[in-house]
Amino acid sequence: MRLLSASLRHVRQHRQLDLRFDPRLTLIGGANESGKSTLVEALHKGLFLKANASGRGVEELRSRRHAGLPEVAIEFEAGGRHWRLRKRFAGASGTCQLSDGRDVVLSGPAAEEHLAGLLGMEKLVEGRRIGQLPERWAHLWVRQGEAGANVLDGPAESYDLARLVEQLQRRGRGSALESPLDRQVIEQLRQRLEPLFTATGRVRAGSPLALARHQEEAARQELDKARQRQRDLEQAMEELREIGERLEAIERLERPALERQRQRQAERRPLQAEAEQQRQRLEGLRQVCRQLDDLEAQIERQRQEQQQQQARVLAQRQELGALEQQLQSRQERRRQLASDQRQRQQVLERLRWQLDLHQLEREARQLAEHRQQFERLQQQATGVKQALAALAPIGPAAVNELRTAEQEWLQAETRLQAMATAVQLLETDQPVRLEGRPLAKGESRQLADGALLEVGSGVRLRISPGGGEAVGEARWKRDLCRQRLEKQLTGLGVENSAAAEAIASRRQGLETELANLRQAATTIPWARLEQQIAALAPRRQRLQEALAASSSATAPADSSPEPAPGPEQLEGELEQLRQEERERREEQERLEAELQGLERRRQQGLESLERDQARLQQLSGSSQTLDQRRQALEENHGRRVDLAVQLAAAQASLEAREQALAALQGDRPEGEDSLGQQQRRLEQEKDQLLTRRGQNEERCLSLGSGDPAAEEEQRLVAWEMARAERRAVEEEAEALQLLARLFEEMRSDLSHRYSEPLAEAISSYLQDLDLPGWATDQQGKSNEQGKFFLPTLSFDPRQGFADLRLREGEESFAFEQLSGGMREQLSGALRLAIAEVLKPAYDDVLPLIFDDAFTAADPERLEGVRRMIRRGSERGTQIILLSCTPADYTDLVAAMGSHLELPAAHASSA
Amino acid sequence: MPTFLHTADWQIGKPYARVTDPDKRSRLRQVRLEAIERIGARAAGASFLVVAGDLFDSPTPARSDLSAVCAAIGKLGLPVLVIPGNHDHGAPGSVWHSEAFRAERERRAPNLQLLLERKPVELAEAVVLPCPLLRRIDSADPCAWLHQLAWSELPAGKARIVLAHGAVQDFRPGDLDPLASAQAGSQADAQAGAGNRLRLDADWLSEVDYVALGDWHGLQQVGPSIWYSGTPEPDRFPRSDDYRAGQVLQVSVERGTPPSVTPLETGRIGWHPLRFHCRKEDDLPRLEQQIDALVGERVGSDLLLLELEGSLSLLGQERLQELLERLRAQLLRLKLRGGCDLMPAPSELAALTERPGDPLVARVALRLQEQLILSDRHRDRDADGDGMSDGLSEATVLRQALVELHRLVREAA
Repeated sequence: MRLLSASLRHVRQHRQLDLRFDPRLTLIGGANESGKSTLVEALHKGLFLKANASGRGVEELRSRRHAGLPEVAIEFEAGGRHWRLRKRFAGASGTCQLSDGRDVVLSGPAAEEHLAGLLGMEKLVEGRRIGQLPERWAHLWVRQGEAGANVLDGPAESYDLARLVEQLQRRGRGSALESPLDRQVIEQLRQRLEPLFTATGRVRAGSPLALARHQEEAARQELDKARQRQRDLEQAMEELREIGERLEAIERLERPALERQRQRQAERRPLQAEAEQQRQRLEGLRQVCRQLDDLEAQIERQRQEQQQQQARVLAQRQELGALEQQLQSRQERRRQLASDQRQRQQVLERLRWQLDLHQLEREARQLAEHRQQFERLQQQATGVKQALAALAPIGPAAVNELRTAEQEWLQAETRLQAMATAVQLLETDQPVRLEGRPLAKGESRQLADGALLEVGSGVRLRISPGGGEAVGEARWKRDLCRQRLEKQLTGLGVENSAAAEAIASRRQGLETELANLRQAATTIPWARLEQQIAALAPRRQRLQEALAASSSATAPADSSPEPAPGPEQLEGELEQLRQEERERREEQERLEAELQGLERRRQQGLESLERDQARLQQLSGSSQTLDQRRQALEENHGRRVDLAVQLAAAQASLEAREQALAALQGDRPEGEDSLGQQQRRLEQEKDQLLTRRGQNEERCLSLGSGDPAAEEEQRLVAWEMARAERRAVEEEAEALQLLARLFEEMRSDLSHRYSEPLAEAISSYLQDLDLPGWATDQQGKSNEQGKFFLPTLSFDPRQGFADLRLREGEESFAFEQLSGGMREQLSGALRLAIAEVLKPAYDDVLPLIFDDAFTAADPERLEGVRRMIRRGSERGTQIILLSCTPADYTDLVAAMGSHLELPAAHASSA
Repeated sequence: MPTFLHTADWQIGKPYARVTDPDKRSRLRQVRLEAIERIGARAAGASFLVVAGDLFDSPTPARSDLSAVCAAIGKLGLPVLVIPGNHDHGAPGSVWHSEAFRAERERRAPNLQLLLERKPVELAEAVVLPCPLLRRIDSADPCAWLHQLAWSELPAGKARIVLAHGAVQDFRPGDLDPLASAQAGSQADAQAGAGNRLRLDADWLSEVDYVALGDWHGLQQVGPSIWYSGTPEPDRFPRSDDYRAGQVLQVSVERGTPPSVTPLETGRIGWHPLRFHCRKEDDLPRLEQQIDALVGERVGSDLLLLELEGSLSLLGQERLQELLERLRAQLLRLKLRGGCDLMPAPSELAALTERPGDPLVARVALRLQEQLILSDRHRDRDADGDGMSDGLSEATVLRQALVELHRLVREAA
């Protein structure tokens, strides 16, 4: 189908618009509001809307500026013919004519019906179904602002799915997607599965499958119940049997046994009494024997104890004797020690006296020595005093005075000398005289006063020293000092100060010596020396007397003429004696302690002895008592030997009775009470058993009433059948599900055969867009970098195509995720592809109208868009581009199409 | 020479639960009751009848069965000596102790003599030594009491007949395996097999002249004078060729001489086993012929155990199903064991797979076929073959799917 021309009359702003379309590419330029979109709408409505439509769809076409009803005339080629279509939209009275210019001239509904057929429709859109209008050829009519929409999102009819699939089939591998039979089978499958499963694949409640499962479960429960009932019955029967057996045992065995036992018990009673008597007698005898035994044992024990006591007393006595001896020896020693001490005391005394005497002698000697010393000192002092007396009494002060006087004289002399004039005769050949005295050659003379110098003879010289009176004064002074010195020297009787000093020094030495002597005399206690010496005599007297008395008294033999011992020896002896003394004292103390200990022990021994002796007496007393008791027992009960005989006899008698009893006793040793209890228990048990038997009989009757064995079997079979039924239903359901699944799989498998060629067609357009990564591989077949865009889409025979995506390597982007520009371009490619695929169904050409469809493309991409359009056009699609920027496409159009320009709105209205 | 009838295992009240049709079920039950009458018809010349246990199928049979049995026995007109078996054991609480039985017996069957005690019962012609089962399972030998019996005190001239129920040491029937028992009767049989063993000891065997045994439903001679009479009315499919059921034994016995035993037919219902191997649908007429040979034109008086093997095409399967349906109507019961695998004929497969016009059907059929081949290979390798497992085998589902597809396509076409 190819559009050839269009004429609009009284359509919106177009009073009259006539266009001829290029068979390949028509560019219609026009500013905004120049009526491009109106043209697109008018063409669409002219083709697809019924002429007698009213309402919104027609209202939109009406012109407010131009009087008259909208008229659309379209010439087109379809079905191999050239058609003229004219529609006048006048509401219900709208008209439509269609003619092929030759033999077909149609009008009204017939025309529209034929038109619909030519456009691949069943019928045109009625006015009240105006909502359907946009779905007509939506893939070929790209209205302004809808370029970025995905035409596949609309209903399948909106992109001519049936024909598209048909064409894809032809174009592709040639195999049909599905046949009516296929569909029929699928539908039947669906119908059969629907009652079985919900949409989510769950078993539908109330479905045969659910029912079968439910019935199986119910049957199983019934079976369980029946089995339980059967088991209960068996159990009740078994119990009943046991009760019967037990009852019989009670009646036939246990009760008679008890009865027999009672009888035996009655027989046993007298025997038991006799036995009891015997037992008592035996017990009495045994008791006597035990008493005797006890007594004898006691006596024996006491006897042994007595012996032990006696032995102990004896031992104690011996021990005491030994203690006494020890005591005595200790006391002897003590006495000896005491006498020793007295002797030693005397010796000690004598030694002390001797020592005292020695001391006294020493003192006497010292005193005598002192006296001699004193006398010597006195003699020396006298000597010194005489020497002192012989020396002039010149003290250091006098020496000092003298020395001062000498110095004063010397000083005065020196000063005089200094003031004097010196005259020295250096050379002469004449006698020289000074003051009259010859002056020898080389002699020098001091002149304090003027002097007359005579040289030779003829020459007399008066020499006067300087100073005037000072010389005289100095001479006076010197003379005065000389006199004073002379006076002093004469007073002291010495020649000069040095002599005086020697004398003073000597006096001082003597005085010092005297002082020393006096000092030495003071160290000698000379004051009471004589008294002391005198006092020694009586002491010595006393000592000597005492010594004499002692030696004569104690040791006259010792008074040998051996030399009296020295004090050191005496001291040694004394020390020795003291040592001995200390030792003796320690020994004595030790002895005392020992003595005390011994004394204590002796005391204790005595006490213990006393106790033991008392106990001994007590024992012998108690032994007597015991003996008496034994005798008493023996008198009463006979002797031990006789008793043994009696005991044996009693024992034998008892044993005989007990044997007789045992013979009667039987297997149950219980007493009479216990027998009664047993009987009562037995009766109770029997009662209970009878009750239980009644209950069980009831139970058996009720359980057995419906023949539970048969019931069980029936239930078992019912369950098996329910199970088989369930399996059969399941099998069928699974088989049907499997089939449905396989059909679905196959369908989707086949659908690729449709989606792939379409995707390929899209791809062939997309490569013109020069998308990133495509530059290197314009064929879009493969790209080593994996970086090319491939369109993918899915196909469902019922739902149509869907899920249009662009895949880039591993990533895949849904149409909605793409940018606005990319959406426009992909959508364009899709439409071009659809148009190309569909084309054979429409005389190998279809118009594709883009109304400002690539506004979001940037200038670089626009070049791709142009290539894409060019390709579409080259492949036979009649492309009509409406644009407000026709300059974008002028080159393209210049190359292969025609360019129209819509007059401005006002111009059109003219 | 005194003559009596030996029978056992009447199993009155047997539910035949596996027979689904209630009418057929009651027919089978009725036939068992009628067997008593048929026994009576063979009683000419017999002075008494012994029933060696399992007269009833359960220790608590339905009251109606009790009445019917008593009525039937009452009509026999000769003494009927009965011991309980394992199915109708004589425990307290069982039918034998019930007031109902006492009343029914008094009213309708005074000739019925129930032997619950293990002591000699002296009849005019013989001495019967009953070994009743008093519990369902008794590990003690019911014949043990015979060891203590003072044989010399028994009447010297009268034949001694031991009446017992249970398996014996030296005869263990081949088809008393648990599966067969479970399918044939109640599960109790299988369990009872362990207990209730009769010890036929030589020390007392030498003292008796005939041992009348019950429990084994087929006719079987165990020793020179030891017999299982079998059931008078067959109630299971024979598992071996020598299995004979449906008779009563006519026994003539005299003290000190070997008995003369004659089986007399009493069975009415046919229990037919048939094994058939299918190869192709052309085999089906052959199968039909074989069944006809067994059942003939009789309706409602036969049971058939059909053991199928081999495989059939889709069409063959459908034909087989048709045949089986027909048989189900005709027979009292059609029991199927095994089955024919579905093996679509090449033409059938081609009809499904070679459909260029119907791509989906063709492809689905092809896929099913491939999977089936794979699955069969797996099955051959794993050899699980456990048909009783609860899950469905893959192959089963695949076959079923193929059958369904076949049907769907045919219906749609």
